[in-house]
Amino acid sequence: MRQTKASASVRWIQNAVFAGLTSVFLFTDTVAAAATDTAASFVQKAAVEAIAILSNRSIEDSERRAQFRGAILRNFDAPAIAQLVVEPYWARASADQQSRFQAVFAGALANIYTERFYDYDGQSLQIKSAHADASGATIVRSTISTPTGSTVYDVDWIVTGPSGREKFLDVVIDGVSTSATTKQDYASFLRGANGNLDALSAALKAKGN
Amino acid sequence: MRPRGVLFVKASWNPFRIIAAALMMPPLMTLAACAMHSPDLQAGVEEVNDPLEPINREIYWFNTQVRRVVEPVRQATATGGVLAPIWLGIHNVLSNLREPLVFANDLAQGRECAAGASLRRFMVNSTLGVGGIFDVAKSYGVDAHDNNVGRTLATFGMPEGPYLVLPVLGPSDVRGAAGIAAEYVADPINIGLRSGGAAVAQWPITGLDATDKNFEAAPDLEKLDRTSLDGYAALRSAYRQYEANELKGDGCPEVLQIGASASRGAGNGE
Repeated sequence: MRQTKASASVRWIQNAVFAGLTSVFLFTDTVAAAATDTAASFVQKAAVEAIAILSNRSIEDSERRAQFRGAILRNFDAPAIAQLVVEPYWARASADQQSRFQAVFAGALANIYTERFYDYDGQSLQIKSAHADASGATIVRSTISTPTGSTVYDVDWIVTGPSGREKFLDVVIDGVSTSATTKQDYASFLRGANGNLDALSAALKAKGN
Repeated sequence: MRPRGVLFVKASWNPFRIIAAALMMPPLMTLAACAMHSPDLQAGVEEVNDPLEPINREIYWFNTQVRRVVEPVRQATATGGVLAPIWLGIHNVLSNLREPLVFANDLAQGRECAAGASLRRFMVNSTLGVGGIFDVAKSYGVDAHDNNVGRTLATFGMPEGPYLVLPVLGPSDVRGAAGIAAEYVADPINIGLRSGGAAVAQWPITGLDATDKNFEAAPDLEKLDRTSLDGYAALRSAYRQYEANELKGDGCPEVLQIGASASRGAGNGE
């Protein structure tokens, strides 16, 4: 009898723990699902904004470019990407060097994405799926199609930041990550400059960023 | 005519690449070994697996100059250019001639759906597309995809080896170069031409194919150059990422994926 009561107690505790864990998992799942939904909405909203700018023929090309650059600077997390693309040299640089690099990198980032996406006029974006990755960022998978649908690009948007304040961390086109490519570009420069972040900032400035 | 997200010239069969790989390797290895004095530099070289970087950079510079010299011709063949319709036909024929090789590699890699797409494309475009001049299959959603022996070697476990930049055709690696050598011998179209006594036709086809692939990649290469401090390093990174991604994909067009999953579902009794 005592054994039965003990078993019942153990089972009750097990059930309570199971229920508790289940509700924690369900809550986590719900939160994760909400995060991926808002990330997907963010991508859609940014794409609508970009397409509206690119297809606006009532303004001069220079004005359109300026608006597009502005949209990139608003929607990308430039300070975080700046840190990412110069690892491991970031940690070795002083706070002043880091700050100077972040200031010039924002312009470089805007140039990179303006060059990459400025020709995407008339193309359409279709979101396929969204999921959270191990680092907490959300990967939104999409395709971008030409107006005739004859050419399709697989584009992954890496979104980070709290709900309502999302930013892009990277854009991966047909498997090629923009941040990873930039990182290798800068790493090559920094290897030749003894890892001096100021030299990289000066070179980016000299290139018109 | 816009490339499918390509930031470089895709690997392709070409005697230039075989010759370059075969002739340059021994002296380049010696040069690279001389260059690696500093431990830091050596660590960097190993990380990017580019021991032939000094010579690769020279070839990269050469390729960039060639690309800029032929840019006016490329513009004439691009959409809206005076030669655009003719060049589109040439591009389609070259693409069609490559389908048997793509099909064989799809099969060797177990990519059945992609192989089916290649076979469909070759049959439809060779007949309804008048010898491949018109890409009729594309209008049905069966778009072209590339494949090569280098990727088949990867499927069988061969590592990519050091990075190579080959004259005219651009980025590759030792595995890619080995694949090109194998393709030159085993490409069904080349075999057909040789056995039909028309081996000489391989050369103009090769030349046109190299030109076509350069024209496709040129706008993206210029963009990459404009936005990079070291276009060579950026291209090397983009090439490696693209190749790694291609090995993960199944090459199956969306229009056939539905059919493929339906038949898998039926096979599983779902």
